[in-house]
Amino acid sequence: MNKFFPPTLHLIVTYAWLMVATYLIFFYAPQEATMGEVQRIFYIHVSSAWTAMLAYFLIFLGSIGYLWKRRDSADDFANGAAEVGFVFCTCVLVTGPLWAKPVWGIWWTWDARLTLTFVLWLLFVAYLMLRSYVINPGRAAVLAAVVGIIGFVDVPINYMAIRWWRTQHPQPVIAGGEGSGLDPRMWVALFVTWGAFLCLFAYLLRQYMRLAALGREVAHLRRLRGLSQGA
Amino acid sequence: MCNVYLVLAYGLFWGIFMVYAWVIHGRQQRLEKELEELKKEVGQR
Repeated sequence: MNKFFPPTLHLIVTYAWLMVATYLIFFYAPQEATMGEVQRIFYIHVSSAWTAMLAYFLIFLGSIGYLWKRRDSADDFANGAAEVGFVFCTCVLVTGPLWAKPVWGIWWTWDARLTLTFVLWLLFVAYLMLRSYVINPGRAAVLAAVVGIIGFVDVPINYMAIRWWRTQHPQPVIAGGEGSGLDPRMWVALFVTWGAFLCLFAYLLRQYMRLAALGREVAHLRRLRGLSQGA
Repeated sequence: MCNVYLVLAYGLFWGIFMVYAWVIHGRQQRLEKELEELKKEVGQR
């Protein structure tokens, strides 16, 4: 991967993609009729939410991979997805209330979608806390993998929450049935933004994987130093 | 055009990513430094 798509090129592509997305959000997508300018929060809010859900799906896959094959790379992948996913999920919880306040008149309500998104954020926190507080790395990886697999149940329920229950949160714009949907230019802005976020997610995950590899090398050299000091 | 909620949302969004990028960069630098020191130390023995 590094040979064909070096990290520096990845960073440049991400930056350019984000610039294009920003242009589309502010200068190409039309202003929403009832909400006005504040509706433009939608593009980063929804794209972050989709990316956070995808991140948890990657944790789920990495966790299964680790429990099955016991490969460190699968564990690093899941751990990296958790860390970057946590950042995106935090962005969802920050941008959501900032959109809700001027539109609904309230910052927050405990409806199904909002509550399940908060639970998703707590699952990211639980996963990362387990990694930090369990001293034995092998045991931490196994426990985190179990959280990664069991916690994934939140993602499909969260996705379906606005279809199954009446919520304060708006109805879905994708596959939401009659009356749902967006202006074609809004679709373009949304998908370009999501693409840029996926590119950013992949870049940050790569950086995390590099960090994890460095960490293992350091741990190996520490052991070697300890052995030579003991000899 | 300039809606305070919109500005806050985008500002905080990019702020969160800046902080995360700074944290990752710091961790990477610390590990690289430690790795260099350990390599020298182990290589000398």
